[in-house]
Amino acid sequence: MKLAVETKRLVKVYRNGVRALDSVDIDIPMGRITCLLGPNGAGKTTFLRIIATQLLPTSGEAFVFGYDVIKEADEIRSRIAVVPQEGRPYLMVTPLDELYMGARIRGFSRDEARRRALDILRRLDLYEVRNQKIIRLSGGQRQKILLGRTLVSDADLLFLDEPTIGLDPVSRRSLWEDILNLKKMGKTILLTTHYMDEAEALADKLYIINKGRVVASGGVSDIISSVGLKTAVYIIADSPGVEEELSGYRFEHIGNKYLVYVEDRKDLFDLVKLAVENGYIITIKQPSLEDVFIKLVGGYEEVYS
Amino acid sequence: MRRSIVRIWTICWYNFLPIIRNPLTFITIVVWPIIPMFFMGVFLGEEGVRQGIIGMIVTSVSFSGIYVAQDYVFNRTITKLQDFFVASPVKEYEYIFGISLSSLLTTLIAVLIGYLFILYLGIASILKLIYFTLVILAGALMLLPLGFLIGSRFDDAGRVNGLTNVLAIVFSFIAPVYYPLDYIPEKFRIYTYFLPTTHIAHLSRLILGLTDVKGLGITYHLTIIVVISIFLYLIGRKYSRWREV
Repeated sequence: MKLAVETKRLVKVYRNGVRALDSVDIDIPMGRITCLLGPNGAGKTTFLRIIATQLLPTSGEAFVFGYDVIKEADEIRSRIAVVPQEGRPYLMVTPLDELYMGARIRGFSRDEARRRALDILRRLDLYEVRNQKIIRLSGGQRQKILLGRTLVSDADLLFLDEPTIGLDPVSRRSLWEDILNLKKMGKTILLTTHYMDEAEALADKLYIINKGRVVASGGVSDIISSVGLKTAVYIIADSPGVEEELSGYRFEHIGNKYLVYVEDRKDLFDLVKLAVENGYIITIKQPSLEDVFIKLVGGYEEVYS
Repeated sequence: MRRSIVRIWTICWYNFLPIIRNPLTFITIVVWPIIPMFFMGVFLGEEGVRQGIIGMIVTSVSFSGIYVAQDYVFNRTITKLQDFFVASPVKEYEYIFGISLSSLLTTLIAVLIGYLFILYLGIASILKLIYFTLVILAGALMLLPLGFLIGSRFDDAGRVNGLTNVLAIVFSFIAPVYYPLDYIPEKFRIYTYFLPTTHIAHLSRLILGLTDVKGLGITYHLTIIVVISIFLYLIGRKYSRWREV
């Protein structure tokens, strides 16, 4: 598969000594959505900013469409577009102004820029509000405008740096649809996020980054199965004998809620049988990306502190 | 070349839109430099207006250079527009020219009012007005690198706004901009020469014949403006942030 981005032993050490990237090798295939997943401060944005030619690396190599990010930045810049992390549109302009500007700086004529802007506004369900000042629009619509501003460029590679941060669930899902549509249009997308559900829903290829290093990579299901986590079985039971019945398993409990980890199908079957026979409530939870993520990056406390 | 001009104009227009779409801000920007001239007219009569006009125009145009700092830091840290432009075909100089031009456009109404006063009061001929225009444009060019330097060295837009406002007070009221150099006792004049706007305002008055004090003379004032411009340009270039290190 052709690669849009390829990095080798990429290192970034900031002036204050912080090592944001530590020998990172990442390949981004063309025409796919690649997600960088990691906790805050993991190095996702640093990586994105280096390959988007906004930041110089300390060492290592990075190529975008075969062009060197250090020596051939101008070649790269005409082929990429960015939605910056926590970027905001001007509030006193309209969505049409924003997208028109985005098209004009890419060299489209006035008529073509306007036509493209209106076309993208239609696709993003913003056509009805195209002439309203952005200050009157919702957070989701504002984020879509930033997405539209990159889309109107017709760039082949789009960098979306935490594009759904701070959005409500409905707006997030709407934006996901837009991002999936971009893939159908043949765009290559690099998306950074720390939302598990977003990575699960969108990523063709996933890199989990922690403390500047890639700790896992591959398809979502590949990563989940490769980590070797056990299936979690939750049993809610108020019978006094339940602890004795579970004594053959490794379990923990809070009140009447028991969490049992099982490794093979026989154990799982036995637990289901036990629950059915005794009238316990049972929930089976396969390992999720979130479980994998927490295992790889060191637990909730570290991630969300 | 043509693409560069289109990009510069597009960035200028886009940066200017929020100002004209917000009339109260626009009116404040236009009216602010006129207020001192108004009071000078009330208390000092026509001579006050003559001197105040120079202050008004020099302040408006020169400060379009310093106030660029506010746009620059806002676009870099709040809207992240700079990141958007860096990762696009827009060149650093196109971006800088674009937002500088929009800053200059903002001052245009105040400048036009000043020019009308100059012509109405018969202060200068068209030719002198052209020289005067070149001098105040040199003032804007001189202070632009300072604006970009401030905008690139601070990450807090609030601090940048505060600093540019303090500079505005120092450069327009401590420096003899609204009033001629004659008003400052001779032994203190040397200190005002450290403020760049002194040279712009005094040179303007010399060209328009609004002062009897020679100061350092036209050649020296011009040289100082050029030297300060080059110095600030080099410093601004060294510390500006487009692609970050």
